[in-house]
Amino acid sequence: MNRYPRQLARLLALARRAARATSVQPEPEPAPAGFATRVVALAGVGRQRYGWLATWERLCWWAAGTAVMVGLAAGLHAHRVAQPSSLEVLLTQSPDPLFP
Amino acid sequence: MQVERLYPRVAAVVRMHQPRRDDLEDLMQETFLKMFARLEQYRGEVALERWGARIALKTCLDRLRRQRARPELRWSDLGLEDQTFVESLAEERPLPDADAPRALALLERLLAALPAADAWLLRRVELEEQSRADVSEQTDWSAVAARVRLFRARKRLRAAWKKLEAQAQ
Repeated sequence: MNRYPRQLARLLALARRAARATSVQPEPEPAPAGFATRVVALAGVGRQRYGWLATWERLCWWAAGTAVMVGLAAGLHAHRVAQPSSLEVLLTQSPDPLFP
Repeated sequence: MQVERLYPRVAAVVRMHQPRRDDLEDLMQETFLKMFARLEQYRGEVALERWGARIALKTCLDRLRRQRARPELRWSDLGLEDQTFVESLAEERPLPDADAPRALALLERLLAALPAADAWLLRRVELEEQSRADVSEQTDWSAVAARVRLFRARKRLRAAWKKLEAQAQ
């Protein structure tokens, strides 16, 4: 099966010849001065920053959880306070039982 | 120190696959930082150099994917000599070796108009004659993924060529 039209296939074949002729194994290049120190320092900073971020995130989750619990407790308490006791209901809704 | 030991191998990979607008030093730094970050995942199944080379290649491919393609190559963008050369491709006569650098330059211009990741893949397979298995192994793509990507890249190259040909007529 022809993957390419004939002219493009010929262009590729010719280009391949040029690529073969120009391909040279690059000379191994040593690390520039200070590269290793810089990378190690940057990696250390990144790790430290990550450590701080992780602690901060954990703290935020704890704070959010505590806030939800406090909110629920306060809501429940307020609901209870808003409910009148049976004596209050008796006194307010029915005529005085002792001196009608 | 490990960084100094790994540097030549990683630099060779980055130089070979470096996106055209990216800085070598910047890419090298990103590669080594990724290696540090993933050091805990290294299980020693492959040599450290090879592991580092793979991370370097992935870093280059990620950058390539973010790169935008150049505008498509038009017939009017070609010089008179290039136009004559393209027309000569239709003739039956064998092409002389002297035209090979021109062919490579023209192909590079065509590839530059494709998505950079497609161009990368076509360079590996069509110019360097690497097999799909080699590409899969280098990139960690599955065999199917490599086949699909290559199929799409070839399709785009064909479309770019057909447009150029249509403009010539």
